Amino acid sequence: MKRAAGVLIGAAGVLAILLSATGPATAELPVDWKAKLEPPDDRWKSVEQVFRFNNGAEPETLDPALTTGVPENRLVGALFEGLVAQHPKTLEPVPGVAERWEISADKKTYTFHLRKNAKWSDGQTVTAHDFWKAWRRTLTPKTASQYSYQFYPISNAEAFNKGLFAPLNKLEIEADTYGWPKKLAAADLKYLGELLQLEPVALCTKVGLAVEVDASKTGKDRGKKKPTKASAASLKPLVDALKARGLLLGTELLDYPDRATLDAIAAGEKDGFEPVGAKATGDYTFVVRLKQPCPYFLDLAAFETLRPIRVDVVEKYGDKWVRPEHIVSNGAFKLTEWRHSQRLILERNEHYWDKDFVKLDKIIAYPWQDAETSYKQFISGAIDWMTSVPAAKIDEVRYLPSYYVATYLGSYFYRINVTKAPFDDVRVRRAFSIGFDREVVTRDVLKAGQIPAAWFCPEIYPYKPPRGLKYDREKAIALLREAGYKVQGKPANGKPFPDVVLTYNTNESHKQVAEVIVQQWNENLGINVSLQNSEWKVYLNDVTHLQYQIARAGWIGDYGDPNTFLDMWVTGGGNNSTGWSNKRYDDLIAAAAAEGDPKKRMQHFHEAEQIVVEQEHPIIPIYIYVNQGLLAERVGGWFENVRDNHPMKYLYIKPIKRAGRSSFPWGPALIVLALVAGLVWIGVRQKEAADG
Amino acid sequence: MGNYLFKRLLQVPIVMLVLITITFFMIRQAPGGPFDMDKQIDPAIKKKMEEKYHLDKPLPIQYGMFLLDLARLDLGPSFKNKSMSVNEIIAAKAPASILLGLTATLLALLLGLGAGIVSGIRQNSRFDYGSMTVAMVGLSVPTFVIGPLLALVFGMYLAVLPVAGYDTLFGSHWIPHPAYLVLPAITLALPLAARIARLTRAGMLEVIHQDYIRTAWAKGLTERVIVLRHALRGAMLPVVSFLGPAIAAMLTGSLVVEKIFGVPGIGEEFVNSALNRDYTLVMGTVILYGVLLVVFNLIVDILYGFLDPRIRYG
Repeated sequence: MKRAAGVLIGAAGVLAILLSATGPATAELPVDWKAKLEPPDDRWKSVEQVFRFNNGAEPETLDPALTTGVPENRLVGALFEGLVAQHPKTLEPVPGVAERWEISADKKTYTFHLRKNAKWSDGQTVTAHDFWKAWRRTLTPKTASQYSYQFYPISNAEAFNKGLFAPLNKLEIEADTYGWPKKLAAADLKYLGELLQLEPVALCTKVGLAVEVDASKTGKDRGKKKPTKASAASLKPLVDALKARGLLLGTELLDYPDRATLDAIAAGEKDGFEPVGAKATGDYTFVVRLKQPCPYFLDLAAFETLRPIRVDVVEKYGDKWVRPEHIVSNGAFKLTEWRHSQRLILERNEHYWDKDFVKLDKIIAYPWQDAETSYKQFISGAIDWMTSVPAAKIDEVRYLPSYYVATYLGSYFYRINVTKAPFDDVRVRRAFSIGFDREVVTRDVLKAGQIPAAWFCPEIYPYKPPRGLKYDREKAIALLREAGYKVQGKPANGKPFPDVVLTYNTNESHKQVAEVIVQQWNENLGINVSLQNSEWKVYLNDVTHLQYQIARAGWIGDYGDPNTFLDMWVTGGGNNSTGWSNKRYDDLIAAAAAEGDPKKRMQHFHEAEQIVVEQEHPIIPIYIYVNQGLLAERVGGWFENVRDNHPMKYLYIKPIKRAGRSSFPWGPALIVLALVAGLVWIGVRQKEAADG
Repeated sequence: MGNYLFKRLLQVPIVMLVLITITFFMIRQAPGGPFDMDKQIDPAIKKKMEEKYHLDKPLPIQYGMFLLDLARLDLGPSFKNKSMSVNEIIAAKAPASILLGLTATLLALLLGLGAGIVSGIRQNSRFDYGSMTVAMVGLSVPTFVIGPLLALVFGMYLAVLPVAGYDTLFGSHWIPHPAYLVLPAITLALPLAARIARLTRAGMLEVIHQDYIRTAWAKGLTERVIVLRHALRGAMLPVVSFLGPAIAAMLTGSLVVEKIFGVPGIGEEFVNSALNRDYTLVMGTVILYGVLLVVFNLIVDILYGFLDPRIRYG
């Protein structure tokens, strides 16, 4: 009895501690948020609940770990559900497989409580272990998931994904590739210790490095004391390399597992995924530990790449596990048919925990790429949603009630190669950025309501981007003259401006935009810019290898935080591709990543973006995307949002008749008839002429 | 004949080998690779992906591995469609193209031969001028004009046929739903019919004036018998030699028509695989086309012997 009491008190104590350490639970969602998304009445039940749409492309795969494109993610979104889901209108996190979660006071630990009735399409329950196994599989280097960087805010996820869990002296073999120092001597260690403000030996133990290692020996000989002379400066590459791999932030070594763990992993005694901050502490409890506070982590938790899969199914069927006969999914729908390039059919998942809320019985996704075909199908009522309208058709559809326009989380801009003249001079870059009128592009060429922008990152609440520099022709000319070039005759001793080539990937819309901008540059600045279009892969290759002068680019945000746009321009960033590097910018982005105060964070981003769009100009922002499309009036439960994310769970079909046949066009018919008659008459006349 | 056949059959693997080799090395010279993406991938991950598909090995070794797989009729995995192998993609999509191509060819033959024969024997008649003018129009107006026009008229205004799409009957890949084939087949057939008509007419004209036809007339045979039994054989020669490669092209799908009508054929894979640098799928489609071309040329040559007994192969 005493024992039981003791246990109870102990448990209460633990509970008290836990509760006091937790932060806000499932955010500030109103209790009736779901009821508001229901149809207004029951009339929808009288109509066949089948939703047909054109997905725009044949999906490459339906594996959440491997999908990269929008068409794939639309389908993955319907098939798989993550810990967290997104509200269809506001995109704020709503319960998914996790019915509630707690965030620790230091904002680094998220505890997700999974609901007990979430099931896979084959009837098995979704457990926290499924998430652990799925995340482990996605982050395993062999899986080669391209979006694995979405996991990187999680402690040690990046290191695991890049296969970095090996004691550092084993990595010395790759010294040349990563610029590791070849030898580490006592003097080096001292320097390192001072740099990192850590005890050298403690540091070495922490990063798995044996003290005073001789790089020419590995394995059994490590640890033998053999001090050698080396310059303290040779340690800088080590520190830089650690930073580049996300193991060091500032001077703090983040969570890297200690030597004992690393040895156990190397020996196969421990699973390599152990040190990663994602654990299933029970069947229905999943705890995630982050490197540092990440305000948008719940957005990431809803992302397609972090959704769970059944690893046993993947192991059994290999790459073919996504086929309708094998696939097991936990979302509102399951895959019943996949006829390649023809159509894909999803049907309601009877085991889904929220199946009573789901109204659609069937979803048919078509993969047509041709916009004309898609448009005809929409007008004739064969499909209910056309996901985008090409610029050429906008004038035609603008007044249709089914046409919609919504801001999209994307930015259209031109990259500048800052490593080569004349663009290594910031004055020239600024001149190009202020030397044309963006309104002309969005108002007269694109016409869909795109937002002309001299800034790069769209407004993502609560972030307000800087306004950038306005169109100023005189100033642009003055800047070029200041840079030493002769513009329109002045100054007489100026050098002529060299010819410039603007590269873009082959696309009618990009061509039209480029033509307008280049024409303005040529007229306003008196220079000669010409156009070059390249096939997609060639264009990507050229941009990545900095073989361009100015190149067209676009960027779609992955989550609702300025970081997804602004971390592109850090030194050596994979998506930088401009050759631009600015230490203050790097520091600001790093500071924003570590900053807990949301206001200060936004200030860091604001200042960073000012460097890009108002001071240094490695890019020329042009406009913020909008998303336009055609949606039949009979579709309900569909809301516009900046990610163009429309979870199919909320859709239903209203009892409105489908579009039918159009009326017969007598005018065009008569014209065609006249043409044919004319041709025949010509033929007859020829014959008569030949006879006569 | 048997000797000739044997020699021709021997050429097939040599031709295919040359084709495969040239394509293999050429496609890899194009800048960019299958895993180049807008959002840059971490080099470590890219390396892993390339290892998975053996793209990190030296080129001659990759070539050798490809030939070995080919010997087992395994064309490898597709880099873009990650859940299907190249064999499966071709098996899934080729039937639609082949059926569409066959239908279009039959239609074209019917129309073309009919018009051509009548034009030939009634030279300079109203029908002759009329049908040759229509043929000219059919040749000049591109498929991406005729196709959408037909879809507009029959699909939207008259609503008797579906605008686009494809379906099969009884769940089999090889039994198409006829309604979905009509418009694309007509669109594909018209240019071909026009060419066949002109060629048939030309061939007919040449044959009509030959001595053996005059003999047949003199002997008192009916026009029908003369045309169909005697003249047609000779007239078909130019048509047959044109048809060989033309049918191969038809069967491998016309990209434009398939795109307009949403037919899930192999045509788009020809272009997309090259644009995506999907090396294995490029090899697969090129081999498919190559085989068809070689086979049909062989059939044409054999047919020649039957059509014109004067041509004999030793």
